[in-house]
Amino acid sequence: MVTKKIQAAFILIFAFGFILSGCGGNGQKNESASSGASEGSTKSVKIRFAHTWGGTDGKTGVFKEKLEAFRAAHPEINLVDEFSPGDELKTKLKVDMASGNTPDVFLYWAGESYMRPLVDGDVALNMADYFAASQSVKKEQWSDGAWSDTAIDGEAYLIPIETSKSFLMYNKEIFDKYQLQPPTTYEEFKEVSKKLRENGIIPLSMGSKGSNPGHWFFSAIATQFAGGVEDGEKLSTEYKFDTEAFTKAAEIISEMKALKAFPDDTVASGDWAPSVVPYNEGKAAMLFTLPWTLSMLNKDITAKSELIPMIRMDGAEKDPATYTIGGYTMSLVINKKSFEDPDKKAAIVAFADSLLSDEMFAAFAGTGMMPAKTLEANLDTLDPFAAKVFEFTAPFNVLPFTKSKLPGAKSTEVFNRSMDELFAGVIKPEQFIAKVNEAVAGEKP
Amino acid sequence: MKQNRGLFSVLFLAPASLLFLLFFIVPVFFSVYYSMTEWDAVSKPEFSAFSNFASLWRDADYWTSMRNTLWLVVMTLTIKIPVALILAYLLLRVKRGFKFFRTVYFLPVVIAPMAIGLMFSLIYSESGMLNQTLDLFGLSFLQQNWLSDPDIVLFAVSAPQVWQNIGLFFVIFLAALQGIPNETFESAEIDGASSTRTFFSIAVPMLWDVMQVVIILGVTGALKMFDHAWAITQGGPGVSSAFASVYMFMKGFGSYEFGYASAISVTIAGYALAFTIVFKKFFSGKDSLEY
Repeated sequence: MVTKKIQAAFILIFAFGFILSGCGGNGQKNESASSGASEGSTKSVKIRFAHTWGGTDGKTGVFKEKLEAFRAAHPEINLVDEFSPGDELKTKLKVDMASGNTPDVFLYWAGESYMRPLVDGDVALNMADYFAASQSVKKEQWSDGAWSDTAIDGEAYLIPIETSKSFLMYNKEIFDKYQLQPPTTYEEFKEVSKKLRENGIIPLSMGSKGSNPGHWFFSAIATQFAGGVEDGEKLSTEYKFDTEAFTKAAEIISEMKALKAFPDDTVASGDWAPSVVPYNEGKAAMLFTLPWTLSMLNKDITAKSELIPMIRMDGAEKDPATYTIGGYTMSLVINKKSFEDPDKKAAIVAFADSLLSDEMFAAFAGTGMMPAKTLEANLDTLDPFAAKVFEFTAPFNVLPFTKSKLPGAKSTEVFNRSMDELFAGVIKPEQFIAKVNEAVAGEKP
Repeated sequence: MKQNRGLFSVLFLAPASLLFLLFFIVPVFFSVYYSMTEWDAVSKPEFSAFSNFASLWRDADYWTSMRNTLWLVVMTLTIKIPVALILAYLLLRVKRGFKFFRTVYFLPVVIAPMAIGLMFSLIYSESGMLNQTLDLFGLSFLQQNWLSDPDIVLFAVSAPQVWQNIGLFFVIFLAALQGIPNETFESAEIDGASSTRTFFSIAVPMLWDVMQVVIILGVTGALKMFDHAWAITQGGPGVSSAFASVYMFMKGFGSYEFGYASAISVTIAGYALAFTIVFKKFFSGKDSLEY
């Protein structure tokens, strides 16, 4: 009986070892496969970079090209790039972090709610350490606003790559057909909306799924009212969302919904690609959007489109013709643990230097991305409508979107869901404010 | 010789058992542990005993997601399984085109649920295929905001799941029906039994063992359903179309509450286990009819 048990145990250990050796073999294979073009050279350092620049992203081609150039110039670095589309990168990184497998360098979203856990969890490197190590990239190459808008506890834990400016456009052909003038005030917007709806046209292509793009529009309204900008700034210190400006913005969205200013199904028209569909199809007369949807717009529609400032709300304190909602979105984060590894540090600095070089930013700008780094944009290489957007939004001040100021991930998740409900007309403005306010208050330490 | 045979069996069973242990049993225990912690997936977990479960009890959104899940279970028992069984029974009697129909009904099963979700989100869009078709047939009054009306959205996200899963149950039932000797059906026919009578008096009783498996698969599958709802609405608006696993994902990957999300997953596993035990206990000894 004892012999049998020993035999069984032996077999189990043997099988276990067999499986593990099998797994080890695969790992080596993958690593060698990832060596890519420069096979045969000695790969002394392996670094991983997680990003969203693949698939249908406009920057894919440029990024691949630059990546290959970096690999060729640094045969001693085994650079493994890990692509996840859009928001899926958040999911991937959370799994990686939970399993202690955080990539060495990765793209992430700027904003208190996104970055706070990475700072508190000691994952993100204080970029002062990177700037001290880099020979070519300096903090001064970004504007002061870039650092103040993305700082956590006054320190930089990321380097902004992409910035954004929202804009409002309209289909001139539709407006001309119904002899309408583009609206400048909320009263005009309501009149225009009524006439467009009577003719079967959706006034404004706008939806909310996971709060996109609805929350940008919410911010564009809320910031016009007294205290709207300050209320956002104070979210992480006073934990209050039930302010007058936010309440007014919620009421206006609810009223617009009732007036049928948006597509009827705001969830189906939510998220970035679906939000431009009614406009692209000529079924919507106006579109409020951001630069990353430029590549999704049809050329024949942009040829008929003109840009206008955001509509001025009744009782607005801030003139929407002087500013736009935007800010720093996609940024570069360095894994602190990896940076402190003497074997990896030089490779990480070399790769970050390459990613943050003027050359790389200029190449990205050529694809329609608004670069966060201060550099002269060459509009000649851009699509004509993208160049038009860049020129139109250039003089505007940029105010941050409210969501980026939420104090944590829990309140952000409630904000996202409640924003969808507000746009869908499922909840009343006061319910929206109460729900988010409760979540924001719940973040208070 | 007998001892060698035992050794041989253990040798071949060990890898699978170890994999099952490593990738299924161990993570279950980890989930149970994390469900009793406050954990954001970045910092170290802090033990909080049963506080997550106490919070769940008071969480109205969790109960909404559970109610939505229960709805899917009811759909599984009342639509998916009966329709799959009827289709399999009807196809069994088809002489020409058997392989074609079998393939057609099974085809949705091999498509990735996320792809189906994306496909249906286009179908449900305001100017999508569904509303256009209704308009084409003069049924414009039936047009709806399929994804933003909380009274309808649950039907909208459930439909693709029902459509896709019917194919799986259909194939299981078809295989089981093909195992029933033809003579049994022929005898019934000679005795003058109608198709309906044959179905209820021969097919259903003789498939009872398979039916039990399909019910357990269907109910436990409904409890963990995620892909379609996430792809179509992300559980929204609010949590109107969130099933329990979607809500778990919202909490884990949306708000970094991995401890809380683990507690939700533990309750899902608990419900599935409880259902299986009760179901098997209740129906144990009720074997399929044999002629």
